[in-house]
Amino acid sequence: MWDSLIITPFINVLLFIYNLVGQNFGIAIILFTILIRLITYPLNASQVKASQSMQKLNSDKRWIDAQEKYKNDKERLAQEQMKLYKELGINPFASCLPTLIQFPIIIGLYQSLLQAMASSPLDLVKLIGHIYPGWMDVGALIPMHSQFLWFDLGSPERLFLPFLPAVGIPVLAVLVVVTTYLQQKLMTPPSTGSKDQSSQMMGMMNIYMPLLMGWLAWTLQGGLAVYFVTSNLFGIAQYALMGRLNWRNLLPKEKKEKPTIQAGK
Amino acid sequence: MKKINSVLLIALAFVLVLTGCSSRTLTTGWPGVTVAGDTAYVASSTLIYAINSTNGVQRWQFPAEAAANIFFYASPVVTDQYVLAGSYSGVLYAIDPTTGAEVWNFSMATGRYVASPVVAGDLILAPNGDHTLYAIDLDGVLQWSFEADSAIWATPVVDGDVIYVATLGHTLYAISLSDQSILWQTDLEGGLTDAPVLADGALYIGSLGAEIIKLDAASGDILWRITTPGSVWATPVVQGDVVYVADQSGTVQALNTSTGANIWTVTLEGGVIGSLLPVEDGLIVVNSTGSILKLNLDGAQVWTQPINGTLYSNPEMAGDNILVGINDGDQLIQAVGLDGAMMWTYTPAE
Repeated sequence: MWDSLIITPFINVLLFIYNLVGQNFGIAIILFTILIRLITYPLNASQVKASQSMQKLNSDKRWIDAQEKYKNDKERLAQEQMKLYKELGINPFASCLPTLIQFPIIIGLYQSLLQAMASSPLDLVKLIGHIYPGWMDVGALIPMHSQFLWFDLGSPERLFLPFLPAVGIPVLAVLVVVTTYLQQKLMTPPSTGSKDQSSQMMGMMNIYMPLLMGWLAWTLQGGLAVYFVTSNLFGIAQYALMGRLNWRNLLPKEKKEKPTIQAGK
Repeated sequence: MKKINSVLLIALAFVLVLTGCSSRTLTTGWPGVTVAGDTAYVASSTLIYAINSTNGVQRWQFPAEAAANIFFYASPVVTDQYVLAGSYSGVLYAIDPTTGAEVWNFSMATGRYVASPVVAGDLILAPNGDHTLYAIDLDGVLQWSFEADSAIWATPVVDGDVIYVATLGHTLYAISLSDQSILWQTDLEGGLTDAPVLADGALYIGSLGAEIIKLDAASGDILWRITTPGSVWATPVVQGDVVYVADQSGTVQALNTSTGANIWTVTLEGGVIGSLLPVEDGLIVVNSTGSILKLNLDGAQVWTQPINGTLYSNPEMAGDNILVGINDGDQLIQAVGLDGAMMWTYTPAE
C-alpha cells in the first residue's frame, strides 16, 4: 500500500526527471523537490492561513484576559478557548493537519531518494521492481550517476579542500542549518510579545529544528541534504512571493514590545 | 510545558522515522554462500561463518566479534591457503580456513566488494565497486590494477591469458592477464551484474537491460541478443546446445545456443535473481517469493519447497544437498535435498 501509493510513483517521477535532465541526479532531486512543493502548495497555503488565524487569537484581548483570569483553571480556560475559536471561525486543527499530511510525503520522498540512488545490489533489485513496465529503459538508466558537484549523493556530503585534505567540511549540513533557521525565523508571524506556551514552543523550535535537520544532513545521504536545502529555499521564496516574510525577526530585538491589544468582535 | 514536550516528541519521532529508514541501508546485500569440501562459508551482514555443510553446525566466524561498520555480502572464495572475503568497506580479508583467523588484508580499494574475487595462478583478481580490478599476489601485495568504466559487481572470468570483466556501466572487457592491455571491449547497453559464461569459444551474458547476449570470445562481436521479459542478474547456464536464463520477472527460458531460438519458457511467481543451479537431470531455481524449486530439462516443475524469507542468493551444491542463503527469514541457510526435502537449517547465534 505504502509502496504502491507513495514510493513507486515518487521513484518513477524522480527517474523520469533524472532521464530528462541528462542523468544528473542532483538536478533531478532539486526539480523533484520543487515539483513536490508545488503540488503541496495548497496545503502550505492553508497552513499559513490557519497560523494567521491563531495569531489573531493570541492578540485578542478576550483571550489575553481569559488566560490571566483562568490561569489556575485549565478546564475553564479550554472552554473559553473553544468559544473564541468558534467566534473567530478558527479551526484549531487547520494548522497542524497540513503538516500531518506532509509528514508521509517527506518520509516517502526520503525513502524514494534512497532507493533511487541504488548503490547496492539489494537497492537495485528493489529499484527495478518499482519501475513501471515500459515507462523507462532500465538498461540505459543503470548505473545511476550519483556524483553531484563535489560529492556522492549516496553518502554523507563532505568537501575536502586541497590545503586541508584530512578534514571534510559538511557544507550542505551547514546550509541546512542556516536555511532551516532562516525559514523558521522569516516565516514566524510578528511576535505578540506574549509569554504563552506557543511562543515558548516557537522559540525552542527555532533553535532545535535547524540543529536537528543539520544533524540529519550531516549523518544521512547527501541527496537528502540537497532536498532539505532546496525545500527550505523554496519555502522562503514561496513566502516572499506571498509577501509574508517577516524580516524583522532577523533583527536583534532592542526591547520587548508590549502586547498589541485588539478589540474583539 | 506539556505542549513543548509534545512538539519535541513529534520532532524526535520524525528523526527516528528518518534515521530508522536509513538503517535499512545496513542490509544492502544477500548472503553469499560458497562450499569447499565439507564446509560452507557464508558472508552475511557483519560476519563470515564457516559451517559444517553436512549438518549445519558452525565451526567459526570472522571476525570473532562483529564490527558495526564492516559488512560482507560477496561469496567468499576458498584457495589452498585462504578463505578470501571482500567487505563493503573496501577491505579484502585473507582468513585461515581452519581457525578463522585473519592472515592479511588488502585495503587499497575505495569502493565495495560486491563480487567475489577469482584466483588465476598466483594472482587474486578482486573486482571492486570503485571501478577497479585489483590483482594481488597470494601475500596480499598489489601487483597491478585495471580501471574499468564503472563499478564491477561481477566476478571476472579467466581463460588462459584472457580475463573477461563485466561492469555495471554496460561494458564487457577482454583484457590480457600478462600485460593488462585491452583486447576488446563491447558496450552491451545494459548493466552487467554477473559474469559471462564461456562455452565453445562464445560468451553468454545477461544484462539488466533485459537481454541475454552471445558474443564471440575472440573478437567481442555480438552473435545474437534476445530480449527477456525482465532484467537478468545472474550468469546463464550452458549445457550442450541449450542456454538457460532466468530473469527478475520470474521467467526461465531455454534457448538454442546457435540461434537464440526459444525452446521453452516457464513463468514463475517471483523474480529470479540468483543463478540457476544445474543438477543431473534438471535445474534448481530460487525465487524472490521464497521458493526453491526444481525444473526438469523440459521446463516441467518437479518439486517446490517454500522457505520463509526472500531468496536472492545463488544456490550451491554441498554433497547431495542444495544450500541457499535466505534474506529476511528466520534462518540464514536452508539445506534441501535433491528431492526437495528439508535437511537442516542454520541460524547464527544471537
